[in-house]
Amino acid sequence: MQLFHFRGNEVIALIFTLNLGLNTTVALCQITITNGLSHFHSISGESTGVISVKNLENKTNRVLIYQDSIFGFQNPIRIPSEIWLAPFERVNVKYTWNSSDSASQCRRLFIEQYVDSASFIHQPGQINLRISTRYAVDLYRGRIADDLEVAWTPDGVRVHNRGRDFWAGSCYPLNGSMRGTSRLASGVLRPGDVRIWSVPADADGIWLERVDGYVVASPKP
Amino acid sequence: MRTLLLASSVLVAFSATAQNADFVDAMFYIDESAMIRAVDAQGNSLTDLTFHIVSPNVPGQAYLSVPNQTMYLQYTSVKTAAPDDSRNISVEVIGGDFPQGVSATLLATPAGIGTTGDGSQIELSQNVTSGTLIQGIGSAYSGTGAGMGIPVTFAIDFATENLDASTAGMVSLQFTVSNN
Repeated sequence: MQLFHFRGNEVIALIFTLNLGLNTTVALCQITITNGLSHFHSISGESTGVISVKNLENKTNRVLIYQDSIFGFQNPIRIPSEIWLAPFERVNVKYTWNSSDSASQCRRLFIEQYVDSASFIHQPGQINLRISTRYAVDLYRGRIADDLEVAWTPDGVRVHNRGRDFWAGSCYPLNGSMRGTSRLASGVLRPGDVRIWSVPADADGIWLERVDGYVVASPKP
Repeated sequence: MRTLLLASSVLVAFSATAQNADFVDAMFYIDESAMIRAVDAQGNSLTDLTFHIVSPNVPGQAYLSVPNQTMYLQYTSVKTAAPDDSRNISVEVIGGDFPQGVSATLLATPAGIGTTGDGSQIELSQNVTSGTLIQGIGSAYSGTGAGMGIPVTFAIDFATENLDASTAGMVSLQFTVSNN
């Protein structure tokens, strides 16, 4: 399986740990995701992956997993809809893409701790807000390519992924012919996605850097 | 428009040498972190916020306004490479409806140590059921004690003439951590 390093940049995390003394697990919560909120698989690689879920409580917790279709009608993946975690247990939940199609695919999974909603007794005259949290994990399978159309508008730069593959990376200002230091935006452009990013007035253009290091730069007109 | 195509590859070399000596490989594994929980002002886990809309004491008066309430979202986030280098927190009504004539304004103010992002204010009602509260969280953490975390202040808004007591009830709000 070829898994792009969107997750698990151990070197960067280690520098943070050594130099700044940050403890990555200072905040207690019920469950957590420990291997990232975006996973990318290449078409040629294995069609499976895992989501690492950890229980941070000293009691057994039930975790619900469900898929959303906000990315359109791509093929769903196979993944359990419910798991049980023993106290402080970490589980790698395996998922499998159902199809070996060469077309780009993407899904969003929501992962949340089960909360019993039947325990609250509503009283007349009350508005009760029940609060819960969840994580959204984005799964991508496909190629990363550069079929981008870049156009300058009064609102900023308009970037359109015209191809059938993904574009993933970051947008920086262009200073002369060099990359500026402050990132303007980052993310994944799915096939057909259009984003408009504002660009500082003193920038000479934009520098679009893919996660694999490939760069497209566009100077201001 | 003129587009420049530049091919670049960034090679970062970390070298460790050992000359005529035994050495031990040190393996490090650092978890990525995406953690969040909702707590009250005392730092205790929070599952419900209750607002009482009570009738006035004097005939002819409008209903009294409801005091604001604040909850805190405590979090730890360690980013990696794009696209998992920037996290958002959004909120969505996943169950129930706000009573007729009632809306809730949520104001989130970034808090914590690190890249804590930008906060927003949104108004939830029967017609608006979701919105993004915080954008651009990078590597950051909130702390775990009382008063620590992203304060989210709930203001219940209504006008007496728009209320319908028969529709009062429970609304389920879910806060989601995601990438952009």
